[in-house]
Amino acid sequence: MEDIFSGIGLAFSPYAIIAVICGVVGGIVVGALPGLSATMAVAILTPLSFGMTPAVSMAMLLGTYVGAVYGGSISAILIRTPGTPAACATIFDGYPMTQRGEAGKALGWAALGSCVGGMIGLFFLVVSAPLITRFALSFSAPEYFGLAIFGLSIIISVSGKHVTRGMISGAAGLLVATIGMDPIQGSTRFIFNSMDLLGGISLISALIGLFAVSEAFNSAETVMRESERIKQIINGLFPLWREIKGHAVLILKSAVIGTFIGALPGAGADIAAFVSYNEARRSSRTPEKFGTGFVDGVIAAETGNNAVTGGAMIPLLTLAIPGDAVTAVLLGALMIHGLKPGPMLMAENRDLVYSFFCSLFVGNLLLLVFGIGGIKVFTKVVALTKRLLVPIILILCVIGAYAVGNNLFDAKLALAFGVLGYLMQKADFPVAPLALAIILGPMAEVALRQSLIMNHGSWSILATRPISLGLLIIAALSIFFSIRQAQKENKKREAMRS
Amino acid sequence: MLRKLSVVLCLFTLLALSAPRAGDFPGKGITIICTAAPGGGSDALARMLAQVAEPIFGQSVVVVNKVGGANAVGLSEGARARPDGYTVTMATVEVVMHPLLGNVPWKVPDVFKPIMLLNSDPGAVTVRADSPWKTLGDFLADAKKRPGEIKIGCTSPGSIWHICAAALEEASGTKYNLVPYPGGAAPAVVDLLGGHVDAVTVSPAEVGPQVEAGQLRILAVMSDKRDEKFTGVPTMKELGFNVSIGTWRSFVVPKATPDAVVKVLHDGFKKALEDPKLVEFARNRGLGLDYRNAADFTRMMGEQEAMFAKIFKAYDLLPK
Amino acid sequence: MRKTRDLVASAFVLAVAIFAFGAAMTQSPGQIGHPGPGFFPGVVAVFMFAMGILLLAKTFAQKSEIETDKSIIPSTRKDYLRVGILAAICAVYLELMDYAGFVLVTPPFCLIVALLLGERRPLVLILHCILVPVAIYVSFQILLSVPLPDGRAFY
Repeated sequence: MEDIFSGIGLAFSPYAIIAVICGVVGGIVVGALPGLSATMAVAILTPLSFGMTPAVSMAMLLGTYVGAVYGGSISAILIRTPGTPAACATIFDGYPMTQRGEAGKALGWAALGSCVGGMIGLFFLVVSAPLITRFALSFSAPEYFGLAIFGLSIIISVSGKHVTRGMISGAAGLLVATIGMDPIQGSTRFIFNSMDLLGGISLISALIGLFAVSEAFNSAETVMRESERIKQIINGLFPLWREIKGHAVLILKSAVIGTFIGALPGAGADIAAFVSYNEARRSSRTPEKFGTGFVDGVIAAETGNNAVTGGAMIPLLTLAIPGDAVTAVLLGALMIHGLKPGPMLMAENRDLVYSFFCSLFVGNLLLLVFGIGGIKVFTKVVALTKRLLVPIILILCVIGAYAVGNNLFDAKLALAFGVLGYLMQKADFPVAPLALAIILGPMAEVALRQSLIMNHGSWSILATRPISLGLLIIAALSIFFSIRQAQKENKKREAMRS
Repeated sequence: MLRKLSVVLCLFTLLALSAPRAGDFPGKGITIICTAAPGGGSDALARMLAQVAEPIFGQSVVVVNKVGGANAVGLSEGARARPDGYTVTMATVEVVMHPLLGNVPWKVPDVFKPIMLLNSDPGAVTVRADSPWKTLGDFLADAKKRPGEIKIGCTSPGSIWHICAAALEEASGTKYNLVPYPGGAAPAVVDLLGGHVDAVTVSPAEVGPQVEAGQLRILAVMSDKRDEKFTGVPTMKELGFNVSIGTWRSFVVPKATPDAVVKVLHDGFKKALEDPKLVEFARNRGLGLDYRNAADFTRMMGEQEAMFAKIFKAYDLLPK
Repeated sequence: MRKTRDLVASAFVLAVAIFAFGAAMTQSPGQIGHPGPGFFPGVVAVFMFAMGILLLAKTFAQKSEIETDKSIIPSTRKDYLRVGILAAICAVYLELMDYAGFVLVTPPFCLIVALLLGERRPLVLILHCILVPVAIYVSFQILLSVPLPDGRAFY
């Protein structure tokens, strides 16, 4: 018992508190800047933390982690730029809210959702880590295939009213994802003799291009017409308790989804955000409002992706297995400090583990503090006229894409995807399915081929394992119902017109 | 207002003119290309070396990850970098393997100038602690009884842990179902813990924490000497199989880099490698430091190339 | 107008699907139990083709024009031209950055784009094209240790 108290003491020491504050602030900045990811931030900070005590260094790194996952939502909401891939789903409703002048509301809910999601993830981490780990371990290639197919079925719900075009967009995304070296056999696909394409299409370049650069082009198109800047409402922003209660179920569901997906070693915050968004839409009474600036969309996406911070720590602490890319770096950080991650950590360094929990708690709380406190500052960004904002956004996008691998080719890719995204939107092709497919395509293909290799070429493995069969069935049902729902909505629209 | 403006203009001009002069190396920051993803052994080693080397070189040393194609992408990037010594590539064992497999259009002596070897980690045969195999002998006997049934998790074909499994097959005359894990060693270890594969052939470092926690058991290591941490584990040579294979990490630069620059890089990073902070870090992380100078390293690469060529030929992996 | 646009889009989709299928088939598709590298792209290409046909069919079957939001003023040809020029400027910007580095090329970029988008106040323009590159340079290169493009011409 004293371990717990001494652990709490470690986390609340002055150095640790300063460390977590710096981490959260740094993380938010890195998360908001497109191209710079949480993984990169934590990887850069890890060697610097070698000289600090484990409690202080983990406080800083954990703060950076939660800050970065939240930070992506700021640029996603304000300038339709996914600061991190996890913030992609936040764009769908966050940006339309900004266009209506409700950026403050979106940012406020994003902060609240991120904080609460992270807290709920932390709760599961503290209370039921071993149980969840057992569930996570039961996932192998067939289950990941099921998960990926279920994720791809989300394409239909993010297609809005253009389901056929959405599916084409998704198919295009799957094709784009195959560019590069075949992950199983190593032969090259679709690289047209370009060494630059050997590694495939950088996901961040594609996301930045499709969402942010294309929007910059849109702004360029309309900049002469829109004479007034959209006034952003910045009062009465903190969500009322009544409103929070009204969304309690949504928040809880998204957080649980995020925690579980975070606990899966092969899936991270981006997938969690999409799955939460999809589930929110599916179970909503007004699904047609999603994508038009409906706050539920922002809540679902942000709560889901931040819950991953707690969830991904679960396999890390119980088995020394990272739950996502950032926790992979944290694993290394723990080892650098001479700690032995895994079940022995709880036994030998109980106090440290509790100090990690406390640092996560403080970090999530700080998200709320900085997030809400910073709304006025953040919204000033969009107050800048489009004529000056567009060049800034374009530079940030290309530099961000470049920064991922120090390669100007990635920046050029982002520009190309920007043109593609712009043209697609002109032809009413939704862009989100393409993004989703690029994220999930590789997982689906690799998992399928791994499953077949494991099972000596028989497809039966997908049906004989309960979880993968279950996921595939859910995916099929989801596709069926989504298409039916889209048809119903289209008929309603037809009826309203005549 | 005008004064503020002129201050800003001066600042800008200064920045624009801050281009360093050639001739005093290093005159600006050095970039290390790490061909693996953040969080893995290569990345951790690169970042720690970078940090320790900064005061030695007096310049910033930054690590950039260029991931993809089982290290092929980063290696190709490193080969095409400007030969001025400011871009150092951390070349792993795949730099010798990819040209043999036809995955890349270059060969090491044509595009790279080696600086030094940094570390080497052997492959190892690891199974779950609760599996029925207590020794490598048990494992091989079972494999002979049911060829192609036992599942070994390794990384994608053509990468080192896969070759380790192939070497195991060749040396012991057994056959397994080799399941590829393109994501690296960690996903394979996860599936081993979950019971979805029966064994993995990654290095002891990748399974270290789980072995120490009593969840996994290493049956044998594929090196000449026993592992420093897991001294109870026999080497394959001790058990009668001439298998010594593993991954290694080194620093290389593009071929045209001047020798004087290479010497500065070599001396600086050698000092970094000897830094007690780095030594302790490597020990904690399970990375085996193994310094060899450029000449010894080049010789080693030649030996490795011959060994891999033999294995690839036996497995029909060579390009047609 | 909309129908032509949709027809062109469908045709483009079909073309891409056919091309992708062809390229996928040059890789070994493998057998049904052991899919090769060409399997996945091949299946996706077939799906895309099918969807393209569906889209084409819908385009022909559509009777009434979809109602557009009357409150939005439609874009003029000049607006589209502006976007095209902007895209071209961006492409040139990236190429020049490769040769001359971030610090030299970005200020003119800021200036030209702001002018293109209609900004005319000289003081604002000058401040913008100086402060923005400096701010980005300081935050990325100095604060975050993320190197910015250097310019091949100089080294």
